[in-house]
Amino acid sequence: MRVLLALGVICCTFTAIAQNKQLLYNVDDLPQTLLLNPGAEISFEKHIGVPFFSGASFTVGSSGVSVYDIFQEGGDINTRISAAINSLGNKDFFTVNQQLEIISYGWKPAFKEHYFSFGIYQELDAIVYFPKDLAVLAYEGNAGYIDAPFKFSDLSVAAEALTVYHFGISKPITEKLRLGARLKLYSSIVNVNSTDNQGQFITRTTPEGPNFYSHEVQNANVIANTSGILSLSEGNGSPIAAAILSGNLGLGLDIGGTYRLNERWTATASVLDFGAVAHVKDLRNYELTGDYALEGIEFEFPAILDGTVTTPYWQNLEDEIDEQLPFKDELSRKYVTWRPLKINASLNYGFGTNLYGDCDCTNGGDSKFANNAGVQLYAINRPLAPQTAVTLYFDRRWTDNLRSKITYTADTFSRKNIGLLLSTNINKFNVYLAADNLLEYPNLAKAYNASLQFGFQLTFDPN
Amino acid sequence: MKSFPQLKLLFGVLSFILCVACVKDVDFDQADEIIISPKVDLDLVFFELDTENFIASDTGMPVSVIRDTTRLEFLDDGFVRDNLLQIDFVFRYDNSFPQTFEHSALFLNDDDEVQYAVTFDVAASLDGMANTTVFTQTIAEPDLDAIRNSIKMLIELTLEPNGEPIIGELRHQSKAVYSLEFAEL
Repeated sequence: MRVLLALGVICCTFTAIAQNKQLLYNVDDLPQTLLLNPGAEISFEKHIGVPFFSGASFTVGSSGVSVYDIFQEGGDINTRISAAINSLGNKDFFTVNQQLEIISYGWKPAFKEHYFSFGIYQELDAIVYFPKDLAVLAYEGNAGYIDAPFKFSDLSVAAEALTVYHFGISKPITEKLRLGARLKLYSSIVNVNSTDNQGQFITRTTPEGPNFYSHEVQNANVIANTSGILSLSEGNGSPIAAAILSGNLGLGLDIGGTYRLNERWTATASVLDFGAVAHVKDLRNYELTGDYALEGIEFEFPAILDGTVTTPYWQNLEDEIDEQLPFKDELSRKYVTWRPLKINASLNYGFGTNLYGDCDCTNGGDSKFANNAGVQLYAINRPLAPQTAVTLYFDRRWTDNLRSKITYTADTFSRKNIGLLLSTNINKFNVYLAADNLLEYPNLAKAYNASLQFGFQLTFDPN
Repeated sequence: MKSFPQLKLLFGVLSFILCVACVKDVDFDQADEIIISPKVDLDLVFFELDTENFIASDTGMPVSVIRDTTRLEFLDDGFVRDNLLQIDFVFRYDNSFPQTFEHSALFLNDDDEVQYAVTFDVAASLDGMANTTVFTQTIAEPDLDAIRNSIKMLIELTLEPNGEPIIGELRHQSKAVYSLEFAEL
C-alpha cells in the first residue's frame, strides 16, 4: 500500500527535466543507449528486446511546487495554495513523460562494423506551464488587480501521445570516430497544442471615461489545436488503430556520434527528434481572436410616450462581443507540431582496469575501462524556453555481468538529484533498473521530480 | 540450482528503494477544505443625461420620471447563483442640475415583479457645478436570494421639482463587486 501510494503521488506531482535519461546515456551494454545516441559505442553485436518490456520509462514532476507544499499536515491549505500561486512563475511547469518500447531489435552484420537497429515505441509527453496570470484571475478575481494585465501568453500547453517506428544505423567512420543516425516515423495518437498565445485582459480605471472601468481584451490570439481527440470523444475512433498507424504522421531524425580523444577520454553528442508531425485528420481547433472593450451598458432612456420598445441592451452586448471577439470552436484546420528537440553531450574519462587488457591488438588497441566518470549535458526545447541539465556520473563494471552507474544531476529546479542504475546479465538476458531523485524517496511528497526506468532484453556480446 | 548473486543484488536494491519510498506528513483529505473565493469587479450601467431628457419633446412639459431597463442574464447563471456570497453595488452620480433626484435601482424577475430595490437621493448642484453622490449597497445573505431571483435591472430617476429651471447634466456610473466562493471542488 505504501508503495502504491508513493507511486500514486509521483504520478500526481513532480518533474524532472522530462526525458533526460542521464542514467542510460553512454551505458554501452544497454541497447537503450542507441535511442539516446545513435552513434554510441556499444559492446554487443545483437539485441532482442522482450516485447513491451525491453524499455519502460516514466518521469513526472513540477518545477515549483511539491505535494508536501500543498498537502502538508496542519495549517490552512488555502493559505498554502495562495502562497504557491504567488510563488510560482509563468515559466514553472508540470510535466509527464512516459515511454514504452514495444519492439526492439538490432544486429551487426557478419564481418561488418555497422550496427543496425529498429523498433517501435510508444511515447506520452506533456508539458503544461503554470498559467500564472490566468490562475490569479481565476483564484482571486480582478478586483485586487485593477490596471494589471492578465497575459494570455501564460497559457502554454503541449501534450502528445504517439507511436514511433524507427530504424537506425551506427558505423565507425575512423578508428576514433563513430557516427550514427536514426530515422523515425511518428504516428500521432492524440495531440493537444496551445502555445504562442497572445493578448491580454485588463481592467483599466478610466477617470475620463464613461464608467469606472474599461474591461479590455487586447490583441487576443488564443488558439488550441487538437487531433485524435474528436473521434475518441464521439466514440467513432479506435485508440488501438490510431496507435498502430494514424493519419497524422511525421518524420524525424536522430544523429549522434562518439569521438575517442585518446585512450582514456571520449566525447559524445547527439541530437534527437529533429522532426515534426503533420496533423491533417480528426482535427478540432479552438480560436479566440480580436479586441474588445466593455464599459458596462449605456442606458439611453428612450422617451416613454414615443412607443419605443425596450432596448435589448443585453442581446446587443452579446452580439457585439460575438462580432468583435469571436470564439470559434468548430474549426477543423490542419497544423504542424515540432517534436521537442533534445541534445545530449558528454565527456568521459575511463580508468582502472582495462577490460581489453593493457595491449590487446585484436581489438585494434581499443580500451574498455572498468571505471568511467564524466560529465553529461542535456537540453530539451520546450514551448517557452529550453530546459537544461548537467550530470556528473561514475559508472563501474563490477563484474562481467554487473554494472552500476551513479549520477548527480543539477538543473534549474533541483540541486540534489542522485540517481542509480543497475544492470545485470544472466547469460544473455539483461535486466536493468534505473531511478533518480533517490534522496527524496524517504518522503516522496517533498520531491519535485522522480523518474523510473527498467527493461528486459537479450543482448549478445561478441565473445 | 544455479545462483545469480547479481540478480539478488538488483532485486535487493529494488526492494530497498520500494521499502524506503513513502509519502508522509501529508493529508489529502484537506482537498475537501479547498475554497476559491475570487472577487470580480465589473462595470454595470452608465449614462449621461441633460435637460432634453427631462422635457417632453412633444409637449415641452417637464418629465419628472424617466426609467430604462436591461436584462442581466448572468444573474440567472447557475455558476453565479450557486456561488455568490456577496454583492457590493456602487452607484455614482455627478449632478449639475439644481434639482435633487431620487434614484431607484429595481431588480426584477421575468414577470417584472420587484425583488430588490436600491433607493437613494442624488444631491442637487448648489452652484451649477457637478455635485457628486456615491452610494454603496452591500447585499449578503439572506437578501441575496432576491438578487438570485432577478433577471433584469431597472433604473428609475425621479426629478424633484423645486422651482428652479431644469438645466444641467446628470452623469451616472455604476459597478458591482461580486464575491464568489467555490467549495467542494
